[in-house]
Amino acid sequence: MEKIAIPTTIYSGDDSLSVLKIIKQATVLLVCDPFLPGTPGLKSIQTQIDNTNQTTVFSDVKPNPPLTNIMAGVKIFNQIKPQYVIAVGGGSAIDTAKAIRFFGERLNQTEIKCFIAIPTTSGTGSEVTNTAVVSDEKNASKTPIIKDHLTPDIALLDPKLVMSAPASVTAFSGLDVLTHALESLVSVDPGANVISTALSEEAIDIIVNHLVTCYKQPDNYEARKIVHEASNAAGMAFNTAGLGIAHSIAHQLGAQFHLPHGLACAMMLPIVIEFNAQDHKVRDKYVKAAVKAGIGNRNLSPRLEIKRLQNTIYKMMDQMKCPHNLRAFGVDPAEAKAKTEVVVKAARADGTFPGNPIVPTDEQLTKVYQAVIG
Amino acid sequence: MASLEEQIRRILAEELQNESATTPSQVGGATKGKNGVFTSIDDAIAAAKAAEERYVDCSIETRNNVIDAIKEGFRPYIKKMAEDIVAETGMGTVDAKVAKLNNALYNTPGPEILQPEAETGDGGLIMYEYAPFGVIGAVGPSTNPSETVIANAIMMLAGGNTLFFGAHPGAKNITRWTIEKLNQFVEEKTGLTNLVVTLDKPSIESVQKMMKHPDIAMLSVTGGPGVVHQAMTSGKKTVGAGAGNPPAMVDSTANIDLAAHNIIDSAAFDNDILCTAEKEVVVEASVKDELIRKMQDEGAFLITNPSDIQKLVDMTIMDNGAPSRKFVGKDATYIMDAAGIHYTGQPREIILEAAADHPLVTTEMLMPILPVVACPDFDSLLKTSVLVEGGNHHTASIHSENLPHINQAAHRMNTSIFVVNGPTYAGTGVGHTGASALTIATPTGEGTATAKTFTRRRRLNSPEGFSLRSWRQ
Repeated sequence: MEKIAIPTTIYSGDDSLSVLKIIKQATVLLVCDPFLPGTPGLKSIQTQIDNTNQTTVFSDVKPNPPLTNIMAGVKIFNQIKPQYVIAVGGGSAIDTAKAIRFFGERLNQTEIKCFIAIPTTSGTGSEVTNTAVVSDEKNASKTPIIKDHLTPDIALLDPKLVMSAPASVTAFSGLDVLTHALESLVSVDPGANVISTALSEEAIDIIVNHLVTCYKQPDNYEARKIVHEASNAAGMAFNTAGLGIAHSIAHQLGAQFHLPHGLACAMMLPIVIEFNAQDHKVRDKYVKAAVKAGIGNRNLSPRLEIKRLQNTIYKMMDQMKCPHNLRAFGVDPAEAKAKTEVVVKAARADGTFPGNPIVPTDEQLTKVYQAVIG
Repeated sequence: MASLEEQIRRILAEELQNESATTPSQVGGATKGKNGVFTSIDDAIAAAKAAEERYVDCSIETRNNVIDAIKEGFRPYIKKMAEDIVAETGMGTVDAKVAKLNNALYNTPGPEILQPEAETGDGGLIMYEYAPFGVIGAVGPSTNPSETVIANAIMMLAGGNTLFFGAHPGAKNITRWTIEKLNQFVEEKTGLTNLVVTLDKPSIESVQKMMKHPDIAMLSVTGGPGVVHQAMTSGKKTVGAGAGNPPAMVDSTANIDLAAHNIIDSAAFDNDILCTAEKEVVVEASVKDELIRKMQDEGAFLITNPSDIQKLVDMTIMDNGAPSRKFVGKDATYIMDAAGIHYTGQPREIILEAAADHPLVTTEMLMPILPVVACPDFDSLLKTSVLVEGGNHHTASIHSENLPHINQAAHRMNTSIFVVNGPTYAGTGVGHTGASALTIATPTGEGTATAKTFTRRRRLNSPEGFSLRSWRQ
């Protein structure tokens, strides 16, 4: 039996924020990125919230949400006991809000009425996933909290909110979307199904054909809207289907060498595609999706089609000024090589690892990792 | 707070201990240079090396895109570059710079000339391809700063190389501007960076260091004998472009109108600064007066007073025998004003009669002073020309309608460029006369360099096939 749940109600478009008007005479906790208060983007959100509400803003959000920041948020949650939690920002802000909600509900034995996620980057898909990753800096560990009830009730996709993102954020987060889509497409844990595959394939098509436009024309509303929706679709796809070793290793590249997450994913993606394409069933899934996205054509041999797919990814990276490998990013290759054992071990323990369609041996995982060193 | 923390930690502990790692989203590892300009030579060469490792795997289409980006990108800036070069170096003329820039940009062949060669037969397939060297260290002159950057970049990038460019200190601003722009154009179109790199503060020491750097695979040096010698003793493959002192020969059969026109037009082009430009005329005595008269009609000013000639020598040739930098590439009128020589009109070239051993004849003057040496017959004309060319084997021209004379002179002069009945700038490609030739490698023998000069010839043997004509069971 396969379980397919897409519980989030999604509103997309430049008038989507008006949905916030439904909140009346309530206590609201608004969690957002620290650079957002005072910006026109956040103001456009706040003006939609009726002034019969009591709104408290919590903006002490950090990347890789640390427990300390979450605790500060939980303290506020305990004081105001909100009925609504609104998360505004990138993946970190939405994850922080999810974690505050999780601990707050448990500690107060209450349930909030509604969790609304408003992403300001097109990337993590966190607005439709059931996961929040928490860093415990004291024990230098990271714990994913995976609870279906953490999946946001409502996601508002306003393309105007992503237009102000720096070009590199557009590039990296968009490539993260592509990685979500291509990994969920072939994932085996929990596993892709017809619905998730449809979402993955459409997201691939959109990112391949529109992401570079967003990068070059940040104010292109149509392109921003469709890429924002693709991010959302890919989020739903991997929330159902899972991910794979591009993410497992990318997480280590972030931890070890401080690569931006989306860039790390993009560097790994062509290498992992080649590795996974050894399995011809997996290869055929990639081929089908690539052809649908307008890469190559049906008459090419699968091997060539895979090559085209890899080249397309590299070409997009070139167009968006992304280095292809660690060396080009500025990591000392010798240092990267020395970290092989740590990376391979941690990648194997990563939560995304079981999704990969081929279970790699340590030797294979080593090869895949070392291919990204350059 | 402590109790809250305890509670939260307890809840957290109940959660899966499935260790996972996500990432900070900070951009790091930024490259040290900007638009190809670096402060340290090691950083610059490392960047060009990294760029090469990526570029070498790029498609030929990408190479073409890179070159198109250069050609299209500079199109609106040609006049500005020409003016800036003249302003910074104080040498040459804007019109000539425009012509030379157009020549470098739109007359330098790209990857299309690097077609493979193949032999086939009973031994299967033998194929030769032209592959890149790697990072090429190039050194340019102040006489052709942007032109050399552009032509070298097109040739070397066409061959799949990247390059470090050592700017001439006398043209460092325009060289840097050209390289920055070039990188911007290329990055915009292809996303590739640092295909051409240079230093923010060029120096002789940095060029010396570059020549010894292990990541420099090949050198291409345009300059005086000192720097060319240094390159050739570096132990690296070197394309060296050296000095010349081109004679224009005119025999008694020549079309004197045409000869006078071509010689003055070519010598005055960019104020005689090109190493290919006519630096002296060697003429058969029977047509000397007619030639001089017609050269005057073409805008040359004849100096006859021996004391004026001596003033010119004293002023323009320094004690060490080299031409004075103060007058290299300057206008003829500027030179005569400085020497206090009275002239009329706006002459573009100074001419005078001189003996073959006169210092203005034997020195590569690089300024619009063109001595005329008369010889009684063709044999002595040719001998004199060989002598005054100084063994550089660089460039020579002949104006003649006598085929044996032309052939004999072409053979005997033994130069990299030999022009028959034309201006010697034709040998550099100006005026749609063949591929651009900004680097004329005489000492090392490659002659007028093209993309092929900056490639390695590699051979592939496949004895079991392929040959359409032959099949062995």
